[in-house]
Amino acid sequence: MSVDTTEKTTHPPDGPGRGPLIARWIVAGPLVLIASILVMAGMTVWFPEGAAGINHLAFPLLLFPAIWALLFFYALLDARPWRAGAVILALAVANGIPVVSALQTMMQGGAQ
Amino acid sequence: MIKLSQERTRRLIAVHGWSAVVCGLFLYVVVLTGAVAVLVHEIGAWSVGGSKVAEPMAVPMDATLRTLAQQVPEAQREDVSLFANAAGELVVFFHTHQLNPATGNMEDFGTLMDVDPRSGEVLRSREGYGGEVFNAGPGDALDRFIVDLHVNLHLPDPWGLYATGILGLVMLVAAISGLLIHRHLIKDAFVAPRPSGALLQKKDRHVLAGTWGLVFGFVLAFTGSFFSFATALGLPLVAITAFGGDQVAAIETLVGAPAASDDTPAPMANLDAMHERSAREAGSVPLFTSVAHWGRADSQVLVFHSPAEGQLTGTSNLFDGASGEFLGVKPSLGTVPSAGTVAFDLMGPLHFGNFAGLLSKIVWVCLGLAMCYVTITGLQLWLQRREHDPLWQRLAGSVEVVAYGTPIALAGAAHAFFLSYGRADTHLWVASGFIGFSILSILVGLVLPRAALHRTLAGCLGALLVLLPLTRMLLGGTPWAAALATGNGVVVAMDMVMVLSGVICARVAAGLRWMPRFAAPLPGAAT
Repeated sequence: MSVDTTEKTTHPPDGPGRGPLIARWIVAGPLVLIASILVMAGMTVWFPEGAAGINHLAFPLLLFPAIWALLFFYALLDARPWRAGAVILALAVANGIPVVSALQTMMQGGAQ
Repeated sequence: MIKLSQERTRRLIAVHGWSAVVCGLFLYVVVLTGAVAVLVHEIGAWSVGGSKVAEPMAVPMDATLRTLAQQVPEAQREDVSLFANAAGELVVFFHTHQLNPATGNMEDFGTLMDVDPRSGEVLRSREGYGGEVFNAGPGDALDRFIVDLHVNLHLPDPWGLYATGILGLVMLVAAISGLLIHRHLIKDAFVAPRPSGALLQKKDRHVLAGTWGLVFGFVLAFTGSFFSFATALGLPLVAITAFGGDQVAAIETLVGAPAASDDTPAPMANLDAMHERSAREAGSVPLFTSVAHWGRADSQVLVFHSPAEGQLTGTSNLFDGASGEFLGVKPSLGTVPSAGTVAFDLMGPLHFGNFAGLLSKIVWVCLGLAMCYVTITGLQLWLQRREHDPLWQRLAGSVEVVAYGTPIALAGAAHAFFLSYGRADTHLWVASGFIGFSILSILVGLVLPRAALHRTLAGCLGALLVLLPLTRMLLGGTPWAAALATGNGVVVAMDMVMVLSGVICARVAAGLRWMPRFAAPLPGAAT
């Protein structure tokens, strides 16, 4: 196995000060956790249902640990934590829209 | 070989180390109890002196079930669950579904009976919600305590599942970061511990055990966090997004929608004939039977089987409850086979290691114990590099106390079980035994100097394990001759495992270095 993922940077990747370090903690910690939960929930909308009509329900549950690990190591290994944060945030927002919409519908139904 | 920049490697090493330091001891408890829980059926059978009948679910039970059905309130005859416990008794749960005010959820409510499969006599009966009556029998205490400690650390739902799920993710991080920072994976698999110094030797052993257990650690962490999060977090969220919060609808879609409702009274077909046909189809005796809508025209009987010879996963056969007609194999998810079903079916065998009988279970136990060794040696390496910092050295003592204290407390819980079985509340005694021996281990850790701690705790563990078969038999447990005569070789085998493990611990206590030592790093040991 030979995977060369050598970082090509001309400046210190985390930059001066503790800002990038704190940013990486926030991105790899709470943001990744929230994003992976939203991706799991949002997947039910865009994942193919399959012949039995259950793949869009089963695979999000099955893949949750993999989604979290993938996002966590991306946040950890990306040279720029802010870029990783932006990508993960975009992913969270895109998958969070159907979740929020379903929640609103559910609450409206409950209120009526 | 995986090449990473210095900066990325530094970050990975930091995550690998800090994740172990923050969660390592809890992870050790979960992995150790998981390794023990692989043998939960064997431990259950051993604790109650073996099974009354070799295959309780293969014994004719149709007449018994019909008699029992007349003894429960009509409302509770809606559904029936049927399986065998470790003592070889039939467990029959007549139940309906109603809102549990304590949890706010729809739950099974009914009467659970432990029945002698030979005579049909009801040995014990209890009424309540599923969570209250299941595994609440006196013989269930020891194995359930171990399983619950592994699954939720005995914390209330859903917090216990969240905690073990997070520990699973931490293990996933440790496995993946370990893979990435090991630059020579193949070479590491055959590394010989260097005799040049304690730290290098310990590092080599950690790398060796970690490399061989890498795939297993990954599989265990992945499937473990799936099991923890799927029901506690995943299912409610999926139900919100796809079904507007209706978890019942989500479950019905996942397990396959029930047949059209028809509450016309209709006599049940012969269950023994259905079990016989199901066993022929599956190639193994039934493991669990679920009867939906007992005594109605729309009744369905679902018979679950463990994997047959040469199969990785078990099967479920569906029957028409009123006519007894075989309706076909029922996929575990949905109504027709799919990729989701295959992936879901693989999770259990991969996590529990029960796909090839006792052989795969033993392999899973050994790999689980190797993971425990990796966790503890990883922590010790971290601490050994910080041996001059008093703060870190306080943690060093607790590593040893937890490493030995957890199995000591488990062995103490087993002694407490034998002391109380048939005499007192076994569930209370097992929990008290575990807590009592945990406190005792902590006190030993506080009182003794670190140099004497390792041998003392190893000696205590060895003594407790060696004494277990004696305690069992002296307090009325099945003797070896009787166990062998009734086909309960598992009782004898488990006794021998306890004695053998105890002897190994005793040799470690005597300083004979027969197995990896969980010795705390002593000042000056690093080179």
